[in-house]
Amino acid sequence: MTGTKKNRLLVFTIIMALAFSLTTVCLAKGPKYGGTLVQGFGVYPNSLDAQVASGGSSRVMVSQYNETLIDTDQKGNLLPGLATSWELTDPKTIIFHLRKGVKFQDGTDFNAEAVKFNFERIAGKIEPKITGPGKRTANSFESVEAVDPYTVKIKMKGPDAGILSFMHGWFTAMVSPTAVKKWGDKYLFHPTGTGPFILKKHIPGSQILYEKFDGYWKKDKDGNALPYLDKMKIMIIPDPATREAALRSGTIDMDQEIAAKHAIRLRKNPKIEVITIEGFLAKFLPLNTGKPPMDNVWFRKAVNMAIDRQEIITSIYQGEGSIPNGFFSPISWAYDPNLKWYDYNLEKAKDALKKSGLPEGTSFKVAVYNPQAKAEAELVQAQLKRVGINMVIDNVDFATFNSQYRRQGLYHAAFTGYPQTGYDPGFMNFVFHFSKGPYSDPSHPTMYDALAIQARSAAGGDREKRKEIFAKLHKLVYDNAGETYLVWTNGYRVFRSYVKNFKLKADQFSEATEVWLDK
Amino acid sequence: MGVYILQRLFQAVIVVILVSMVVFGIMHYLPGDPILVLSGIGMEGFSDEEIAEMRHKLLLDRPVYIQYGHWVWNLIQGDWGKSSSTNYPVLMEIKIRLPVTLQLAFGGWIIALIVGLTTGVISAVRRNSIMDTGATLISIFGVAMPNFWMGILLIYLFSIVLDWLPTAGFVSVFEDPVQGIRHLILPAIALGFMQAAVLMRQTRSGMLEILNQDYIKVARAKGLTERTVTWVHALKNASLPILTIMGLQLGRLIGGTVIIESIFGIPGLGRMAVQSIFMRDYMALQGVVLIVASGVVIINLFTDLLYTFLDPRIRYGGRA
Amino acid sequence: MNSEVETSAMSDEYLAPRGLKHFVGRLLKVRLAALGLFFIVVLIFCSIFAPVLAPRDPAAANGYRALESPSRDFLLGTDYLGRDILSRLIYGSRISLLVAVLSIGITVMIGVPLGLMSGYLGGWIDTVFMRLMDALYAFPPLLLALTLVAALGPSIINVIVAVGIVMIPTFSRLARAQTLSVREQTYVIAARTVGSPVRRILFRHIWPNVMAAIIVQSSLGMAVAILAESSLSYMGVGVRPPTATWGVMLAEGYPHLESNPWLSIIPGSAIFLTVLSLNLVGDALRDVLDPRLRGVT
Repeated sequence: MTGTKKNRLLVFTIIMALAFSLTTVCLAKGPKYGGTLVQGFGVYPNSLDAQVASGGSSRVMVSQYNETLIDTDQKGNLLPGLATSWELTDPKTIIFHLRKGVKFQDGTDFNAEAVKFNFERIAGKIEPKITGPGKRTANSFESVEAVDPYTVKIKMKGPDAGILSFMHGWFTAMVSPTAVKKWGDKYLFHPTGTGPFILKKHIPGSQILYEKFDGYWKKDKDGNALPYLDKMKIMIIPDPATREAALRSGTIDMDQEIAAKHAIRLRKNPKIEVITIEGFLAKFLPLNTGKPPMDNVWFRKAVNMAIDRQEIITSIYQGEGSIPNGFFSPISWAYDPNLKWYDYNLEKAKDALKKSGLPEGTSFKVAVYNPQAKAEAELVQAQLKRVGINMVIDNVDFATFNSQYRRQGLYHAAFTGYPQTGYDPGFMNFVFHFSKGPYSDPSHPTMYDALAIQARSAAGGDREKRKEIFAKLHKLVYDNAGETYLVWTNGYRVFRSYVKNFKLKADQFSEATEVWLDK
Repeated sequence: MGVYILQRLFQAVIVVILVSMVVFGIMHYLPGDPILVLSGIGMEGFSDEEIAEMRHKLLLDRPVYIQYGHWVWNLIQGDWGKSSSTNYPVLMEIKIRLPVTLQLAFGGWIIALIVGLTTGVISAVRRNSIMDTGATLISIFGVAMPNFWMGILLIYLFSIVLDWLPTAGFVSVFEDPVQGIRHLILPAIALGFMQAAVLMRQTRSGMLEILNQDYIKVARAKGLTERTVTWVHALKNASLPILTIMGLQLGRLIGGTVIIESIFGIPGLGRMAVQSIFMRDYMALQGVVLIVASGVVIINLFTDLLYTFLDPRIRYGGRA
Repeated sequence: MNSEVETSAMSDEYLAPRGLKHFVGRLLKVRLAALGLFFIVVLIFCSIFAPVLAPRDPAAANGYRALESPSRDFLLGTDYLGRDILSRLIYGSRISLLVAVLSIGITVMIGVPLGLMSGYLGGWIDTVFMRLMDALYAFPPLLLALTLVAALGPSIINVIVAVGIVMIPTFSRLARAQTLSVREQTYVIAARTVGSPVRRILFRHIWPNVMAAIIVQSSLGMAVAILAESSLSYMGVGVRPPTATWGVMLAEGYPHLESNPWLSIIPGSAIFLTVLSLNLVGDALRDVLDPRLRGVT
């Protein structure tokens, strides 16, 4: 053979070999079927009826067998779920086109009649009556009509830009009307949805066992059946140190509630993957502006400026986190980098205190109800002391806090926080800035309310326009110093490396729909 | 004697009723109620009317004694109410959790027994030796260490470092004996360690007192082996106060599993009770308290009777 | 919380001296007790003079110097908020001792006299009282303390009261049991026959015999009290931050057990040494005070 021919043969062989190995590698990395995924959670669910469940971890638990009309991805983009498309024909009317060929886990069909039934149930109109997070909004529908078996028309009483967000909340899950009618008030022991897993057994306070639903409608991108897993188990382990130990020993495969300290250390563990969600949890301190000395705006400014937020991040959050500039963190589309909040400045804080006319040593009272809040509070307490403000901390349990802070206004502030999610920001503003809300600022009701409502339902949901309104609201809040943003901390999701295809949704939690185990 | 037992049983019932009343009263005195707690967790949007309606459904707007009356009335008919925090019937949850706590308490008790008795006896026999001092020190250690600490240390050692035992969770020994025991060992040790320490000191004291008695010297003089003297004669006579303590410990253990259950993720009554207090879950707490109080009272009664029976010095006779 | 010791009569110094080995052993015991006493005195000294002894303000936080190892600046290192552990330890001795002593104080002052009277007087008084104690005893101790603190509010006093109340049944039972056994002794019957007033009988004859057991139980009880405070802190209720008690330090160090174990080991050792000393001293006291032991070497 001549040299060139030899070379060509060599090149050809190499290319074939590469192609062959690549294909093998790709095939080998493909999803495997089978296995049981074990997740650990700290708190048990208050109900396994998705329309009653109150969120947090219970939302993950119910989403394994329930689905909503609209699905999301981690950035908050809306994706087709049980509805393939939707449109707002006018600001008060929305039409959903439903997916065909979907069956509930009891074999009945998913169709427009079922959707209508579900919204009536969420609104609390179907016996036995339920009350859940979606009740108020569902009640605000004027009508829900099944136009044809796969088209639903919903008429709202007033425009609500958050309506689409509402449609992907776990509490608007579509459950089987047949199952509800069959089980009545025992439905919550036999929840039936369209999701990838069937609830097999629930041992209250201990475990939830799921098995895969063979008739699940969704397929993976190659058209293969989902889910990959055979079974799933959720274990309730309240103590965070034990939960972390359980992850390391392999007793559980996943923890979506892990604390910063543990997560950061786990990064060094070769067997464990850590996902960091930046700016997930916004810690903040609403101030009770109706209660002296908090009714003094310069006092509030002094408090705001005396807090060294970086110190909080460095010590309590192991250096991971950022200083907030407003209500929304970069996770939300409503984040605006142009907004400013008070900077840490001891001199200006002391000035503000002087301007307030209140003497050094003035004190106010806060309540904390969990160890994280207690840690933040203690640090802030030490920081405020540097300016001469005295903060007294009451260590109470949640129920006491709820009743004494929120209902009776016994405290001047509370160390709390809220998750930044892909949910509609109008909803969040509603909770925190509406004058009648639980953390409200009653000093400027009219302006707040007007803006809050506007923000919620701004013309057709134009994001830029709504951002402008949020900026106006921010200015109000800033001038009034009615609250203090502390830190934006990270959320962490940890799992063992053999857990693959872990996808987060808009609220930064994941379901196990497309998860497979490389074991 | 029979009359006495009946009297005591009757009193036991009164005691349990008293306990349930006090608990009910204190819980209602605490700020907050189940609806308020639930409305604070993800149910922000509820209007005041909706909250009032939900409270009305649970009878929370009625006076305390009426609510208590309702609870008793339902209880008599076998309805223990529904837990406001899990939405499960209280009786169902108790049926699931009671065997769990019982297995845990019993496991801890057995460990305390084995470890405490043997070290106590050995310590007494080899008094003032290194073993004795060592055992005393270890027993103090057991008493001085908080059990959440001991729990997590055990987990780190046996589950992470050595990887011999599971980290958390519970398997009933009646379903799967091997796995059940594997899951139970660490929590039982953590639970029983303190009791073992107490029992050890008590056994030691009791044994020392007995070992000094004349009849022991006689037994020795008769030529019985030291081992027989110790284990058969001395222990038997020292057993009275020891049994009393063991009985009391078992009662206390049933209520004392709270932290261990929390650490090891064991779904028992202790955990249920704590959650109920924090969530102001009146129905669930009443149920748990009823069961636990009854258990403790019955065990105490039994221990008292045993004591009376066995101790010739203090016979109650007809006196209550 | 752990279970309590119940006994009718306890002592462990009955054996006649058996030579040199045992004499040395006893001497050691006395010495240990002396060590224990010394430690307690040091502790009391620390708690009284805490402001002078502690190098820094225990609440002064410095987040930028959190979790540091022992150094010249911070002799025992810093905790998770950058506070000086040594200062917190010293100030912590105050509260921990306070909790231990006051709660046992409450228990003994309420529980023991009631137990004595109940045991001595007998009859329906005894029955009612014992059933009340049964009722109190039937509450799981930690839950009872938790509920009481929740009801009374977060403060040191309430923790002390709650812990004190929880321990009452055990002490009163103990006092009663002792009373019952002593009551039938010849000298007591003699005193009764002669017509001595109840009060004198109680104080003169019964109380000294009861005291021994109560003292031993108290030393255990103080350990229980300190740990109870720690458990309450672990569950999130208890004293007001930034109060530093050893229990709080333990609970705060718990999440950092693997990465910074000294946060837990330091207060844990303090608790251990205190409990040990209390027990040693308690044992020695009992040896001295128990009339049956007088004259036995």
